[in-house]
Amino acid sequence: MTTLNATIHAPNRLQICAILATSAELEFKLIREHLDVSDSVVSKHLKVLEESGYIQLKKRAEFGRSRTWVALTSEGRKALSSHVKALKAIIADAV
Amino acid sequence: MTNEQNTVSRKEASEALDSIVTNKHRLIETQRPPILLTLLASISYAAIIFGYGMTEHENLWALAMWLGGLGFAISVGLSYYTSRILGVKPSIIPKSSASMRLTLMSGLVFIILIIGGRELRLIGFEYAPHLAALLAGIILFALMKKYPTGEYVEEKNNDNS
Repeated sequence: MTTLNATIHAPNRLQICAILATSAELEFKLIREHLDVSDSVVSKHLKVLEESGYIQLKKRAEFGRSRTWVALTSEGRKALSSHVKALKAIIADAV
Repeated sequence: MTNEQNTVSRKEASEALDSIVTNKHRLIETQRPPILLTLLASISYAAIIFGYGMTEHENLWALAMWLGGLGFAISVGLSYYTSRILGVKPSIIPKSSASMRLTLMSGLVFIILIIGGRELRLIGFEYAPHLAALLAGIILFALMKKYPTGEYVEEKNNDNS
């Protein structure tokens, strides 16, 4: 039985997980620009994902400034993959 | 929030799936390295394979191979650096199983082209290195354009709608 993941299913968090799945790490600023929301909104969603163990935040000084990098953990990748399977199952069941 | 509870309709599920794929593609589209850099990497890579296929002891093709290697290293390095500045750290070791399969498959194809190009020339197929280099260049160009972050991204489709 595949179940949807309530943490990931929220639209902004789903977008965050989706774009994080495309690379090793993404910078906070890029995520904010991609979602077109404020810093605080991104921070709030990242915090929820971090508390669930789905993402990891790292602060590094690069190119003369501090940058926050976000990476999907292996647990986060599994959760996203299960969530996608659950969504596909819903579509398949409804056909 | 389960399928059985029917809290998510088919339409919502379909929209969520579309959103995942669309967002991945949106990010990838903004992160493609400049076309000239992709071209330089592909041509350099083709030069390595062509040079290796044509090398006889210490002839000039060996130099072409080394120059190709240098060009390839520079273009890949620049591409990686550009991505980092833009806020993306590409995956060097693929994270998902689909990406791993893609990497292994493309690695296998490149090995076949490298060895095949040379070995076929040695048994008389004069233009084997030319063909191998051309194919390798085209494949690398397509891979760099399609998967610039190093992870496999599924195609957009309309099956969910």
